[in-house]
Amino acid sequence: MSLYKSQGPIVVAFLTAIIVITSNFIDAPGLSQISSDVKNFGAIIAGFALFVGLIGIVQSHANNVTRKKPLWQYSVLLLAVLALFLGVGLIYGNQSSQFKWIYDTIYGPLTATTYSLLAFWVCSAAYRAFKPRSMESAILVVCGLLVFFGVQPIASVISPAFNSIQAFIMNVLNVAGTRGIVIGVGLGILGFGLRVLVGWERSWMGAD
Amino acid sequence: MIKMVGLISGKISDFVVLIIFWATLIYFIRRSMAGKLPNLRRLPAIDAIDEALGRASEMGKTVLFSHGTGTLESSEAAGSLAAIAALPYIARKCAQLELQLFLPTGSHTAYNVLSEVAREAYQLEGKPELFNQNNVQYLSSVSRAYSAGVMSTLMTQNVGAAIMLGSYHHAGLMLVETANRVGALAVGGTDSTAQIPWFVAGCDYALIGEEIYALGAYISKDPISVGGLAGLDILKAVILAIMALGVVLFQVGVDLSKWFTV
Repeated sequence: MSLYKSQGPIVVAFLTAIIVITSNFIDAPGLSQISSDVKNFGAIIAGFALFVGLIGIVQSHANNVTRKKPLWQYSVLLLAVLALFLGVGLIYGNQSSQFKWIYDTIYGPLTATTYSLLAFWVCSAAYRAFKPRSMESAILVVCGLLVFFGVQPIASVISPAFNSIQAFIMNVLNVAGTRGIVIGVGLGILGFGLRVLVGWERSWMGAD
Repeated sequence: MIKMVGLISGKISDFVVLIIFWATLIYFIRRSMAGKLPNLRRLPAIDAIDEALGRASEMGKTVLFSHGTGTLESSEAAGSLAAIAALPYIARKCAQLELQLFLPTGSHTAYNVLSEVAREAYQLEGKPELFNQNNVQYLSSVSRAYSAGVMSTLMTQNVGAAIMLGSYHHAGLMLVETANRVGALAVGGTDSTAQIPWFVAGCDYALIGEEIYALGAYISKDPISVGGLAGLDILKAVILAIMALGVVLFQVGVDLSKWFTV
């Protein structure tokens, strides 16, 4: 790997991170402006990367079509919709009624459909999770059933204790566990960030 | 008028804590570099990566690697980068076993990183001809569209091993369940607390929370990463001790939290 490829990203990552981090803690003349400029510069570079991603999509799906790979018809549809969105956006603008119509009538319902599938995925995942195969999974099943039943209106009619148990599981046990994970994740980010910052973590650059 | 340089009020304690934490990590990393390597507890999910790739090779199937729905320019960048840190190892293994590796991404910035890392891995194994640029797929930065694209890859590309690491929105559940449905051996891990239960329920092997940040250390076993892990464990113990102390002192009328808002 050349010096430019091995050290360049590390130097850039170090300098940008130091500027952004120090601007968060230190009040110095012009520092917050420099930090803001660095962030804006990042957004501009990301914009160029979007163009590369677009080329990637077109190449990949054009390849599917020309080689008549399985389900190549969907690639034709994707390229057509891509061209339609791009064309309408460039001609009329992305705030135009034409662009909004395509967005609201095609994109909106499609994403809503994908999102609604979650209900079925939750059921199948819960079915698999709620099989008492060990002590841990048995505890999970019992807690899950207590929470599930505790939020039902009939639970408080039968006994107010169900509401209290459900609240205890959610507000004490669940929150304690979640906070433990959140603290661990925070520390993990801190450690990983430091390694990236000083160039000790290079695997994301391909240097194994 | 000349403006003075100084710490921003209300963030002094944050700054001090950050410096102490980083100093601790650097101390343990340097200690590790000096030869005092701590022992690493094995994580079954990491050993399972080799198993999943081997199984895919035996069955003549392909491999899918997802770094999550986070992008490299968002607050989820750390999760994505931690996942990508495992990619050189996975891609080199795929090259050794002559496996097709699919790399769907919802981040246009990660698209270039994934391409470069995977291409280099196949080159290092002397099999650059096996790397297919079309397998690196930029799908969409919208997590719903991304999940639809990855589900499509899982169902149409004969995937035998699905390695899903990083930060996930609701897409995590969809991907895990689809991997299960197609019979792929799923190794997953996320730092998104809302998705962790689904990964544990749906994946054959799961990494929980911070474990994804330790992935690089477990794979590379280099002193820097391993020393960093030891430092993090010590910091966790210190935080627990401070929390316990805070609870006790609060009972006697001393509010420790005020010290952390200076």
